[in-house]
Amino acid sequence: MAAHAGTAPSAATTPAFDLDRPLALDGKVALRPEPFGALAYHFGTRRLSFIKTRKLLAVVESLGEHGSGRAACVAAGVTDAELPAYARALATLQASGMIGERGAS
Amino acid sequence: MTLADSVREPAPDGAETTAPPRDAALPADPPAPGDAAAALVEADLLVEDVSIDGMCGVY
Repeated sequence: MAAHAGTAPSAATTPAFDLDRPLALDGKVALRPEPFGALAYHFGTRRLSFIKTRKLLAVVESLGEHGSGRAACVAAGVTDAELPAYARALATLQASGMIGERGAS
Repeated sequence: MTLADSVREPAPDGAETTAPPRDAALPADPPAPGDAAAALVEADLLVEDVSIDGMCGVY
């Protein structure tokens, strides 16, 4: 059984989200770095997400280079204390289609 | 002066002592409830989604 972020699931965390699965940015998403973090725009759903920290931007940009979302977080410098919040953020991005499991259709 | 030097404090008798490691430091004051709530809100807002459908013509 895969470990989750270490906290009880929140409303923003979809049951299907697993931080230990390989994740990737959706191919229809463009990221634009901003002073506060970044804007993510999905050309398919026309949804816009505000990514509010540069660290989360680093996580999202590097998802495809790591074996799991957790590994991407660690590589970007996310601390254990920050990990639950970043897991919720990734769950939110997955729920809105900005990121998804690598290899999933 | 090195960082290690900076944490050393002279003892009254002139001997040099070393400050305890950070892990052994006294705990900081507990955060006020308002601070904790603000941190929680900030943590939950790392991502904010909006839909721009229907915004045509805004500009």
